[in-house]
Amino acid sequence: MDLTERYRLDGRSPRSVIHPRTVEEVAEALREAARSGWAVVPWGSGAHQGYGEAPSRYDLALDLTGLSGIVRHRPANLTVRVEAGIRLADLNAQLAAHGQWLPLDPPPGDSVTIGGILATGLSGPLRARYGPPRDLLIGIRVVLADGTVVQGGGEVVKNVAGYDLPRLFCGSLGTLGVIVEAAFKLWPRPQTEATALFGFARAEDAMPLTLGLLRHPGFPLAVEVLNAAAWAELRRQVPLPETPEARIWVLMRAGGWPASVERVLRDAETMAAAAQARERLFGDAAARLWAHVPRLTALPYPPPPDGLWVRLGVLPAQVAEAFRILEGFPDVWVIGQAQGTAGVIYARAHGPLEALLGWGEALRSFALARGGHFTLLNGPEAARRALGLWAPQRPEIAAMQRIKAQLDPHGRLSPGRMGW
Amino acid sequence: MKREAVLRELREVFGPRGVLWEAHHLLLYEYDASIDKGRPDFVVFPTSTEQVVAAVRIANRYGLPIVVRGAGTGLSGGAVADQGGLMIVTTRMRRILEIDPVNLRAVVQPGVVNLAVSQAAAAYGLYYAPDPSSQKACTIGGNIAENSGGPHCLAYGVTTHHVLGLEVVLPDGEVIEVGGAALDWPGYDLIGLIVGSEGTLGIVTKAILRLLPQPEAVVTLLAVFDTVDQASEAVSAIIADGTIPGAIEMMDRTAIQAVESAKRCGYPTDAGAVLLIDVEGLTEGLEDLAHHIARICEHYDAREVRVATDPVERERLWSGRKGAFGAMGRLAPSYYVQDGVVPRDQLPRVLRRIQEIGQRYGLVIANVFHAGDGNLHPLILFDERDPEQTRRVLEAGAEILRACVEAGGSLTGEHGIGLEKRDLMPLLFSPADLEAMARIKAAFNPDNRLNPCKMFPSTKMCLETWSRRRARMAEPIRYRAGPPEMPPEEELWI
Repeated sequence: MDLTERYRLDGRSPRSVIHPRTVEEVAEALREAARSGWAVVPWGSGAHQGYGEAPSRYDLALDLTGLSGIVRHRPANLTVRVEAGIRLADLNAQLAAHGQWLPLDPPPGDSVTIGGILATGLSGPLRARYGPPRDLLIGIRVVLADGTVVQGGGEVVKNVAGYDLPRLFCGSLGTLGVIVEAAFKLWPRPQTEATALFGFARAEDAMPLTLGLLRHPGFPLAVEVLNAAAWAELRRQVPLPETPEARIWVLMRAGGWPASVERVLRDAETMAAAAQARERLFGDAAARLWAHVPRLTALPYPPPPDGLWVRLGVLPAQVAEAFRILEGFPDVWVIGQAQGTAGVIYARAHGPLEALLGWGEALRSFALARGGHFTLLNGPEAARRALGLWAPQRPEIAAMQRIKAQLDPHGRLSPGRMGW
Repeated sequence: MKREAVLRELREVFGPRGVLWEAHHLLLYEYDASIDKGRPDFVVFPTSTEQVVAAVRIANRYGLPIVVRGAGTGLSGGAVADQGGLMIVTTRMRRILEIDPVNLRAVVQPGVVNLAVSQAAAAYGLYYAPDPSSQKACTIGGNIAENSGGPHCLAYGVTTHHVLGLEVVLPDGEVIEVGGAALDWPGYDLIGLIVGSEGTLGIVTKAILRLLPQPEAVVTLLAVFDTVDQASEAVSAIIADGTIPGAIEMMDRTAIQAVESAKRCGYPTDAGAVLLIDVEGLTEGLEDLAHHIARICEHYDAREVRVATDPVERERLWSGRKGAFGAMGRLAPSYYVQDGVVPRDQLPRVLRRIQEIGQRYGLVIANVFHAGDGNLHPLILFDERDPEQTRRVLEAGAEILRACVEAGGSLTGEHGIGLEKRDLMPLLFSPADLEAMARIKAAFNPDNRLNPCKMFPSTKMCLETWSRRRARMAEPIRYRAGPPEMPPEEELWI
């Protein structure tokens, strides 16, 4: 079998695949690519390759999964430095021995690599408490297009020396440099955890709960809003009650000292006055639930012709309205999940292309009208053409393009990924 | 002639009361809270984004460098007009445009004072978390430029974690919006890049900030140790244990004695070090957590741990920390403060090293700092009238920073590089790292007109003024007072 098959993007195979084992090998590969004028696409687990435009040129696939070590874990400093190809699950398994974790749970689950998480910048339910990946990232090492190795930040939790390169590379979709190492601040695993589930008839009824938790000084770990289809999907993986009258579910995860966890649960009960169903999960059942929530937004590549994956960013108070629009298309079957206190919504729709485009357009217009943003995460070419990769496209994009031109003047790193 | 032409144009935009150009006025704007000085040629006070754009365009037409200044509380010279030129002071852009108590957002102009945001949000039970110690005077614009921290950033993060959107005037006068009230905007994270860029990439004219719910309850612990070693071991242990308090501040014996001679705060003057720890959050579980931390301190030989829940008692314990920098006046006419950061497991070792450096240079060094973050603030005490001593102070300061970097740390945790530490950047960054940053700067500020010669090692262009600066440093320097309107015991709380 042609080894490059696995690395096909948009129907094209790269000319070559390299599996570097060291940072120096990455640098050498990029220097060589620079000499040949080759376009390079970094690879981790491949879970996010559908996100962004397909690269306009594609000669070399740089598979970083061989760079999978923990460079340095300083338990007494609560920091870790890892190579980019390490999988989130493997890292957290190592950290668990010290009662610590890197509290990230981006879609589509913990089999993704650290490099992939950073390149996409996607966040999951835990961002309610711990923030998105960029808030935990304290240092980064990248190889630029010409093979130069540069670093920014460091291994201290507070650092303002130089520009914040770690943040710049977060979410840059492999267009500015190849991330080879990252340093994070870690968190202690909560002493105790509890999960409460609340089912509501309408999204509006859930808002007192999600907005109440947003301003709750007990800082719940996650406040995830799911529509009925997402709930049904979860029920296939985790034993959960079937409550047909509940159309919207709020999944709340609290953590900390036992007394404070109990208090958060109690307050949530009060805020969820309109709930028609209530459930508590503990131990393994809760752990399985939270492992599966990010998987609701798996991004298959290549995308099926009848599927569309989008992400919206709106204000937390606009989440109910977003769900009304999400579910307002009879020909479209939708799995919707929202980070209730953050206003970040992931949705995936299946249906005839025409209907999908109408659905996507409605969400896009809604997000823009409310001052938010819309991103097409994955979908057929026709949808990309109709909806664009993201909106709004504002004048700041010229500044982004100038950064790209400065760091990758010949446009050889994931060219075209950002739509330019 | 050129000078008159610039003045005429500026006065057309800002009116006669919106422009300063006479030497005796400019004198007030030639310094910030750092040791550097540099006199701007003109100072303007815009009240709107449009006026900022107009000022930028005038500066561009006449080839003037632009330096933006908020309250001037910066400690690294970021707002010093080292190269002269046009200074844009944001203090008249001080409106809080919106508080959104449902979504926990505030929209403010850059000249709004940090504490004013929390005061405006307090009515809704909310506050703005980053609390630089100059928060009664420093502006949000300055906080954004420096990515300011503060004691409680241990639990809640620094400025960059709390800025969601910006309106920015670029050096060519274009106005762009980055981010917004929603989270996680697609595209490159320009907010992350601009926050902490020390005024070299753009001029912030509006900011959308994240607010947090006020903690329901706060318990303050004062842990008293015989030695700095024991106290720093305790800090490492608290962090390693995984209980993250709201703040962990340390003061050593020199600092304690200065504080207690200025004002009785109840710190034992024979202690080697004290830790001031805030534990905050929900009422439930808080005392458990406080006692847990107290036990860790005792395990590391704290001879006494006081637990204060009463607001008056808490305030008294904190007043010593807040007044600590000001109290240094009791011990010496001047001090020079550094801002190095070390991994928290390196605190004991680096603190010993700092004392050793002090002894070697024959200087007294007090330590008052954000121990939980590993963010040191060694205060080197000296007499500014003694040029030889001043030289030793600067050398010792640089050696302390070198020790921090060698321990795996950084040059600055919250004060910024500015003019002060620009030539130390190669300690931390390779030529390739600095080149990458220079390219990023060129993407925004290609003519290097915006805050030139800051943050990066001196270029040829900057060198001439650099040599002038060195000459100046040898001269007696002023006692570095904070802004005059601040009450004296708190003006130098860093």
